[in-house]
This record gives sequence, C-alpha cells and structure tokens, in this order.
Amino acid sequence: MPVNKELLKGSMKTLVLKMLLSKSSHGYELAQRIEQLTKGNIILTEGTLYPLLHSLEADKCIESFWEKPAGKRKRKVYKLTKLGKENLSEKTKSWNEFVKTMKLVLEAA
Amino acid sequence: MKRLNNYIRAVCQKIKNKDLRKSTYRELKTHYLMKLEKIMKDKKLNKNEAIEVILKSAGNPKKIGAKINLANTPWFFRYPYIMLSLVSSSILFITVILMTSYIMHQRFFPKLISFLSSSESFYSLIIKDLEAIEKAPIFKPHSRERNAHIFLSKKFKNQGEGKNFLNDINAFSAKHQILKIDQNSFSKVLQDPDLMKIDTSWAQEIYSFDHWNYFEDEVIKRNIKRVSGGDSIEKISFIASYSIPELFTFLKWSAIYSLQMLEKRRPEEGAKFFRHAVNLVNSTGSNIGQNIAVIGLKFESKFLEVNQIDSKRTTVELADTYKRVSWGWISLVNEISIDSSKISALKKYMKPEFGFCSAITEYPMGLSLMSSFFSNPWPFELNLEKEIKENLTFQEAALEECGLKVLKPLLRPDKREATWSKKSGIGNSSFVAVPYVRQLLAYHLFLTAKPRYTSLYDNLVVK
Repeated sequence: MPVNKELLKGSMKTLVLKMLLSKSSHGYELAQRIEQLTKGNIILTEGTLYPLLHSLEADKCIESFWEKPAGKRKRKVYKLTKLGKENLSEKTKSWNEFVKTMKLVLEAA
Repeated sequence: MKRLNNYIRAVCQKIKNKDLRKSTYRELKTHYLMKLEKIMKDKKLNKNEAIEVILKSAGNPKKIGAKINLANTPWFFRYPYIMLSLVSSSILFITVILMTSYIMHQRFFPKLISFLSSSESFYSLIIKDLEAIEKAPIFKPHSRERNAHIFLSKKFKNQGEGKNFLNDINAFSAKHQILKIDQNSFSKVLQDPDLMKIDTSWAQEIYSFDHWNYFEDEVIKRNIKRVSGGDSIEKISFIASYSIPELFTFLKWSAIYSLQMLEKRRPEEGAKFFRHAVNLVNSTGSNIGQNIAVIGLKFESKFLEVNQIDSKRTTVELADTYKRVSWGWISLVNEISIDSSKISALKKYMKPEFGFCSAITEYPMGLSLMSSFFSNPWPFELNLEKEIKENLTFQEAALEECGLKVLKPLLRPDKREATWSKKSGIGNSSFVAVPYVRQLLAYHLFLTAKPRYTSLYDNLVVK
C-alpha cells in the first residue's frame, strides 16, 4: 500500500540521508533503492527527488561529484557529509520518539 | 527523444544560474536515459512508447525547475521583501545614529561641558563673597569636639510627650512666622500667652555642646565609615541630621527661647543663646544646615537691632553672602575641570568657617552620583571618566587642605555608589540603555541638582 504523501513529506530528507549513509548514490539509483526497499510503497518522482537533493547539498548535509564508470554514462553521485550524519542522527532520534509517542496514543485509544 | 529533451530543457529554463542549469541538465538527462532503458526493458516497449510513459508521470517542468532553483538560492535571496525591510531598517538605524551623533557632538556635548565648567564670572563672584566673609567673619574657627545628638534626641523625645512638643514649637513658630519676624511683630509675639508655655527649662544645658569640627569625634568617624558604604541619599541625610536632630525645629525652639528671655527682660541672654544655636546648626557641615543657619543669622540680626544689643551683628546681606558661598562650593566641586590658577586663590577659603563643608557633604549628590551615567559609555558617547577622576583628586586635596580628611570615605564612590543610578528607578528604566539618552537624562538631572552660582545672584532677593 503506497505511503500517504502528507505523512511522507516531513520524512523525505531523513529517508534520503539514511539511504546515503550506507552507500553513495546518483539520483536514479537512489530512487530505485528506495522503491525496492519499500517494495514499491514509496516512489520518489524526479520532481521531488532533485529539489530535495539540491536542498540537502545547499545545507551541506551531502556533497556531490561526477563519476564516469567504464562503459557507462557520466553521472552525478551524492555522498553523505559529517554534518549530514549528525543531522540524520538527530532526525532518527526525533522520528523514533514520534513513533513511540504515536504508538502509545494509538494503542491506548 | 526530442520530446524528452524539450521536457528537460523546460525544467532547466527555470534555473537562473548558468553553471547549475548546465549541470542539472546533464544530471536529469542521465537520470531519464537510465529510466528510459529500464522501462523499455521491463515493459518491452519501444523508445517512443517508453518516453510517453515517462512524460505522463513527469509532472510540471516549470514547477520542478523552480523548486530546484529555490533549493540552490541562498536564504537571504529567498525572501526579498524581508531582506529589503531588514536592509532598510539597518540603513534607517545607522542614519539615526549618525544624525544623533552629529547633533550630540555639535550641540549637546559642548553645552554639557560648558555647564559642567565654571565661568570666569563664577570665580570672581565667589572670591568677592569669600573676601566679604573674611573681612567680617560670621563664624569662628573652632576646635572643640562635642556632639549634641544624643542629648537633643532624648530631649525632643521626652519633653511634652515627644511629638506634641515638636508640634507645639512648629505651630507657634508658624503662627508668628518667628524666624522671619520683623521689627513691628516682636511685641505681638511677646503678648501671646503661649510663648511662655513652650518648655525651654533645659536650654542652658545646650552650652555643654559646642561641636565645631565634630567630624573629628571618634563616634562620628566610625559612623562616616559605616555610612560611606551607603548611597548618596543616606550619606547626606546622615551628615545633615547627625549632630542636630530636628535641625529646623531646634532653631525655631531656640528663637522661642530667646523671645522668652526678651519677655523676661534678659535679651542679651537670649541673643547669646540664639547665636550658640546658630553655631551648632551651621556646624553640621551640610548645605541644609548652613542654609538654616543663614535663616538664624537673619533672625539674630533683627533681634539685636530691635533690642539695641551692642553685639557684633551679621547683616542680612552678609548672611545671604554666606548662603551663596555655601551653594557656590557645591557648584565648584561639581565642575569637571577646575582651573588650577583659580584653585590656588580659593585654597585659603577651603575651611568650615567659609562654608566649605557643604561642598564635601553635598558632593555625593553631584558628579559622583552621576558618574555611572558618564562612565562606560558607548564608543561614540561622551566619556567624562578622566575628568571625574581628576575632580575626585581635587576633592581629596581640598579635604586635606581644610583638615577634613575624615570625610574622605564620603567622596570616593564605592561599589554600591557606582551602581546607585542603576538601582534607582531612573537607572532601571530602559531609557538608560539607549546611547545618549542616559547622558541626556544625567544632564537634565544635573541641571536640577547642581546649583549654578551666578544664577543665585539673580534668584536671591535680599530682604
């Protein structure tokens, strides 16, 4: 079941940072990895993904470089920075807190 | 393929930075080509069909381009109106500061400096007055050290049930305007049966107390040290009322006693007693005491004249001279810059019998009190710290000169003193934090508190 867009909106950055923590990726690869990992429940369109990547880069949470693998197209790869790691850690904490709190409320109700 | 390229171009058109536009075009092109290959492979579609699939879900290119452009725009360009208002406010603030600085430096500061400095006429007037007092001394230089505080406190408290006693004195005095009595009113006062009802039975005991230079008394020395930690108001109240509690009432009571003596046909005794009381009041060393003593001198002058007592009489004019001098000294010690050539001429008069003590005991009300308003200013404000320090050095030298070293603790502002203005209502107001406002406030307070010697001549009507 696809994830509600409104719910997803505030967590996009966390999602992208988390993906880049394990592996530096180019935009298309990143979108593919998220889609596969979430079994198609989260699909990042180009209109969402690229403004998000550029915004994270402007905030110095990620940095980019161009690479040209043999026999393949030249592509722009994104890598997590130290600041990005710190940011991700904070976001993860507050997300876990949020989930815990919501769970408490929902289970109590 | 052309359609896909056009789409990517449409996205990139919204990106303002040329380099970013080129790099984003390449980035998106790679992305879509990879996507295209995958769709063709997974869905077994030809190129055109796969492009059709991509474009269907691609979204509005202008909106996407605008979002990418915004993500790469520094925050201060994202909100142009906020930035514009911030820049305008800053320009306005700087303009106000510059204009205020100009006005303050061109107009206010010279005015303030001139206000805090003595004029030539000031020196000539005070020297003239001091010479007049020197020719006909009003008070003698004294050395005995006694204190009437405990005695008078007890008497005022115990006589006629305390308050009533003081009330009776004040009521009788007010009825006949005793201290302002004129030649024709003497007989009227003497006819009032209430005159003899006021208890003066212990009056003669006052002669045991003659406390000139009472500052040298060991008890008061200790108390000066104690009070020096307090604020200016405490210091002045202490000095003004220490040796003679109920200063003004005491003088009225003394006038009543001398009138009782007149009624008993012993006017000389009354006159002698009253002069002693005036001496005591004057020797409190405060401006208040000296001004009340002047009122006493005027009463004494009329008393001696009416009763044709062959005693050395202080004229009303000379009494007023003493009053001016008392204020004049305060004015002098509140100058921020003191002309050394003038100081040498004034040195020989820096003695209690020339009313100098008022300068010292009232001093904390002046420059010292205001010093925190003039120190630690903003860089563009007026800084009078150096002048205030020099002034204090002069003060101390003046104290040495007239043998009043004991009053030194009253001069040097201690930690509490320096923050007095901050603790007070004015000091706590937010106006004080605004550059220049604090100094304007100090100027206006000073204008009220600091006597201007020359204006004393205009305001003091000799009667």
